Amino acid sequence: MKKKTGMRVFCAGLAAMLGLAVFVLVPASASAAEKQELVVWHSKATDRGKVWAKLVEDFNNSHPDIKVTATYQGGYETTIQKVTTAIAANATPDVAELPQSYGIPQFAESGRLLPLDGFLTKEDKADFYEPAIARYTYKGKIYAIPNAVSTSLLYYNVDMFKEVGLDPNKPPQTWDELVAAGKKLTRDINGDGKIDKWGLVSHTTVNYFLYAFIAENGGELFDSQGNPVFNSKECVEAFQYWSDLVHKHKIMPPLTHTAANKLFIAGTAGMMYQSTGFMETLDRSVGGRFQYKVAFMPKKKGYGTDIGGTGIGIFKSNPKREAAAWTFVKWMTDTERSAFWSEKTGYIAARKSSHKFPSHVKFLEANPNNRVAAEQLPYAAVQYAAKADGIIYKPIGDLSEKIESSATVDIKKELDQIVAETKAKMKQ
Amino acid sequence: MNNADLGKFSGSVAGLDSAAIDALNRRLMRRKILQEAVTGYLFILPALFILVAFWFIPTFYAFVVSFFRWDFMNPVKTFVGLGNYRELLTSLEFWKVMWNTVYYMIGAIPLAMFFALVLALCLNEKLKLLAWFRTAAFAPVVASIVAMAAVWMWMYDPINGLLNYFLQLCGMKPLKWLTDTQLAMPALILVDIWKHTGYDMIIYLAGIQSIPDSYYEAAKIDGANAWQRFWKITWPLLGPTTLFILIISVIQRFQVFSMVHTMTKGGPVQATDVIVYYLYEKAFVNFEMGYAFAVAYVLFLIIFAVTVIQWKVGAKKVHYGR
Amino acid sequence: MDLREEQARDYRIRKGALRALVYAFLILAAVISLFPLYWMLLTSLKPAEEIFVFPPTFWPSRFAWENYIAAWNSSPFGRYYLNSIIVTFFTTGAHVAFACLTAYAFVCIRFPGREVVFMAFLGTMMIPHVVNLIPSFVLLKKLNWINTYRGLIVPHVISVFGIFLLRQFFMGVPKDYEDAAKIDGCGRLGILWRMYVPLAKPAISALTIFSFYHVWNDFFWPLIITSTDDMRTLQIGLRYYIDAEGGSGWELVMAAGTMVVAPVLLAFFLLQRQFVRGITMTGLKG
Repeated sequence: MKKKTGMRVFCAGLAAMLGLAVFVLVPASASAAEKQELVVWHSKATDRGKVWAKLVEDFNNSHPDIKVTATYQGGYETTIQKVTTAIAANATPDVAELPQSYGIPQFAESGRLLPLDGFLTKEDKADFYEPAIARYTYKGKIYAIPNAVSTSLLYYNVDMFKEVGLDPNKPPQTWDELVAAGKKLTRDINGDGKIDKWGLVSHTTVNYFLYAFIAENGGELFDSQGNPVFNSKECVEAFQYWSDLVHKHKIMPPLTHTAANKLFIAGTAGMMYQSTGFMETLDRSVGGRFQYKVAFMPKKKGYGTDIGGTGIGIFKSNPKREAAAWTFVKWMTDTERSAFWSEKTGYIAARKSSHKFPSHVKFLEANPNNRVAAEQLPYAAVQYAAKADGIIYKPIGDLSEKIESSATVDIKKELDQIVAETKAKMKQ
Repeated sequence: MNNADLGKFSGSVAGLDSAAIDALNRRLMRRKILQEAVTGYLFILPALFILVAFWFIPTFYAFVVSFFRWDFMNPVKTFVGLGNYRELLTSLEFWKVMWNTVYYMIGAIPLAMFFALVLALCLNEKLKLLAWFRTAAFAPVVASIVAMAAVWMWMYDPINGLLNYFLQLCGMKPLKWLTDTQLAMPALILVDIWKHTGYDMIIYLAGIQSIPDSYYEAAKIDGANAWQRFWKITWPLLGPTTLFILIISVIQRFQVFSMVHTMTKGGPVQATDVIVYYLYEKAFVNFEMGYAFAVAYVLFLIIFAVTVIQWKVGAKKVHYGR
Repeated sequence: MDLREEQARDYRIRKGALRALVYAFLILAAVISLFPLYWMLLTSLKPAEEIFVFPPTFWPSRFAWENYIAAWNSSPFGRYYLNSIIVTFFTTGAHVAFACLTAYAFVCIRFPGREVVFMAFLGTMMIPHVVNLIPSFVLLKKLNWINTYRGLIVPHVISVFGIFLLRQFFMGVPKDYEDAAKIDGCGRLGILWRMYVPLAKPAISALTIFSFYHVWNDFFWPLIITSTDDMRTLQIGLRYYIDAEGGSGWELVMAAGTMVVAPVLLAFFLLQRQFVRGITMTGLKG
C-alpha cells in the first residue's frame, strides 16, 4: 500500500509540475498602445549602456508619439549573430546598432535592411567624415548611420618615456621613430637575460592595426571595384613591418595580444596599439599610478588608421514604423547627440558639425587625449563595407600570428594565396 | 534482445488440439506484440514528439541547406549539389581542424577517465569528510565554463600569470601557454581534464555503487585481495558504465566549442582550431551557412561511425548482467 | 608472537598505509579542483588596483565588496536569477521524468523499430547545436514562442544523455526482478516506479545533478531565443558582463562569476547528500 502512495505522490508531483508549467508558460498579453512602439537593439554594455539608456529616455520624453524600448544584445560578435538569426527567421527589431566589422553587406543583400539614402539630405551626407560613413556604405547605398566611431591609437606611458630619456611631449611620429623609441623602452632590468619591460604591445584586434599599417603605407585592402588587392607591395611591406617589430627590432613580444591591456596597465609595456574606446577603462584601471597619453598611429607614407565601432540601421517593416524609426535614428545621430555620446563614452563623433559644437569644443580642449583621437579621424582609411570583410578576417589574423611566431614566413606568397582564396569565394 | 521468450506462452494451455493451440498462440502473440508496440510507443511518445519537432526537423532542414550556397538571409540561394561537401573534403583547413579535434580527444578522454575512476574508487570508501571531497571533485564540473575559462586564461597569462609564477618559484622558465603554438592545445586539454574528471567520476561512482555488496563479500570469503577484487568484479561490472562514459566523451569532445571560443579563438595560428569552432566561424563570420552545415554533417557521420564501432566492440566485451 | 596476530597487524598497517595514500590523493585532487574556484573568489574580493600586481597576492589587502555591488547593479541580476531558476526547475524535472519513461521503454518493452529509434535519439547528440540554432529559431518564430518561457524550456525538455544514462543502468537490473513483479500483477508504470526507479536511484540522482548544472549553465539557446532583460538567464548576464569587462575589469567579472556559480555548488552540495542516501536506500546493499 505504501508503494501505491509513492506512486500517487509521483503522479501528483508530475501533475503539479505540468499545472505550474501551464501557468508559467501562458504568454504575456500584448498591450494595445496608441504610441508607435519601436524595438531597438544596441551593443553597448555597462557605462556606455547607461548612456544609451539616458539618450533613449530623453528621446521618449521629447517624442510623445513614439515609445522606444532599447535592449542590449551583447558585444559585437553576439550582436551580429543575433541579427543574422533574426533576419533568417524574419524576427528583426525595428532598429539595430550594427558593428562595422563584418556583415553589413550580407544584411543589406537580405533585403531586410533599409537603405537610408532617401532620408539623408546632401548636407547630412557631407557632414559625416567619409571614413566613418564608408564602413556602412555598400554598393553605393548607406545602410547605417555611424553613432560610435573608434580608431586605433598609439597609447604611451609618460612615466616610462621619462625614465628612458624620451620626451613625452614628442611621441614617435614615423615607423622608424616608433622602432627607436621601442628599443629604448625594451629593457632587461634585473639582468637575468630576460626582457622585463617591452617597448610595444598591441591589443587583440591585430587585423585592424594591419589594415592601418596598409593605409599608412599607401595601400588598400580592396580596390574601387571591391577586388581584394592586399598582396600589393605596400601591403607586403606593412606585414613585413609587423614581423620586424617582433623579430628584427624585438620591441614587441609575440602573441601577447590578450594580455596587452594588462601589460600596459601594469607598466610592463611602454606603448600600446589600442582602440580609442579604451581610454575610460584605462583611466579606471591605472588609477593614477602613472600618466599615459595617446598619439596618432605613426606614419610611413602618411598617417592612417582604421575604423571601428557601430552604426545604427533600420529594418524594413511598414512605412509608418520605418518613419518613426528614422525619427529615432536621426535624433540619435544628430550633431548634439553625437557630441554628447562622444563626451560620455570616448568614442569619436562622426559628424564634422559635432566637432564645432560649443560643448564639444570645450570637451576636446579639456581632454587632450580625446582631441588627438578626433584629429586623427580624417586620416583614417576610406574602406567601404565589403562582402569579404568577414572572409578575410580569419586568414589575415592567422597570418599575423604565423608571422609573429616565425621570422621566416614568405609574406608575399601567403598573401597571394589568401587573395586567391578570397577571389574564389567571392565569385561563388 | 529478441522475441524468443514470448514463446513461453506456447504449450502452457493443455488439453486442446495442436492446431487450435497454434492458432490461439498466434493470436495471443500477435495481440501481445501489438500491445507491446503500442505501450512502447506511448512511453516514448513525449520524447519522440519533442525530438522530432525541435531536433529532427530543424536538423533535416540544415541538411537540405547543406546542398546550397546560402547565408540563410539572402532571398537567393544557389543549389550546388555536393559542392560544399566536395569543397570541404578537399580543403586542407578542414583536415587540419579535424586533426586538432582528434588530438584534443586523445589527450583529454583517457586521462580524464582514468583520474575519474581512481577518484570514484577512493570516494566509494567510507572516509571522513567524504561529502566535502566529493563536492570538491565535482566543483569544476558545475562551475560555468565561461567563468572558468576566464579564470584559466588569466592563470595561463604568459607574462604575470599564476602558473608562470609557480614555475618561477620552482626555478623553471616561464612558459607561453595559450600563445605558444605547441603548448596551446595541451593547455586546453589540461583545462578539459580539470573540468570533466568530476563528471566522469560521478557516473563511475553511480556505477560502483550499483554493484551489489554480496559479490564483494563472496570474493572476500574466497580470499581475493583488493587488487583482485577490482579486476575480477569492479572493472568487469563497470563495463556498461565505462562504455557509456567513453561514448559520451567521444560525442562531447568531438564537439568541444565553448572553451576554444572563449580562450583561444582557435589560435595561435590555428593550433587550437577545432571542428565546431571552425564551422561556427564559417556560419557566423563568413556567412557560409551551407558550407558550415555540410561540415556539421560530415562531423555527424564521423561521430556516428565511431559510436557504432564502440558500440559493436563494446557489445562483445561488456557484460550487462541480463 | 602469534602468526595470526602478526598477519592481522600487517593487514592493519597495509590498510592504514593505503588509507593514508587515498587521503593524500584526495587532498591533492581537492586542491587542484578547487584552486581555480578559490582564485575566482579571491579575485572577486580584491580591490581593482591589486589585480595586476606581480607577484600575485593570495589574500586580498581588504575585502572589496563593492565589486559585487557593481556586478549586481550592472544588469537586472535578480530577474536573471528568477528566470534561471524557473527554466532550470522545469527543464530538469522534465529531463528526469521523461528519461525514466523513455529509458524504461527502450530496455523493457519490445516494440518494432526500438533500436532504430534509440540510435536516432542518440544521433541528436552528434549534431553540433550551432547547426540547429537558426533552423529551430525559425521554427519558434512560426510558433510565436520567441522570447517566452515556452521557447526557453519546451525544445529542451528531453535529455537524450539522460535517456542513454538511465538505459545503461536499467539494463543492469536483473530480468528476473521484472518477471517477478509482473507475476505480482504490476502494470508497466508500476514496475518502472517500484522497481527500476529505486534500483537506479544513484543514476537518477546523477542525472538530476547533471541536468541541473547543464541547464543552469546553458548559454547559446537562451542567448538566441531571448531579446529582452525580463526573459534572460544568468549565463547571458554573465557572458555579457565578460564581453563588456573582460580583459580589464577582472575583479568585476569574477564577482559576477562567483554569483552565478555559487548556487549550483550549493545545490550540488545539498543534492549529493541525497545522492548518497539514495544509494543506501536502494536495497542493493547486502
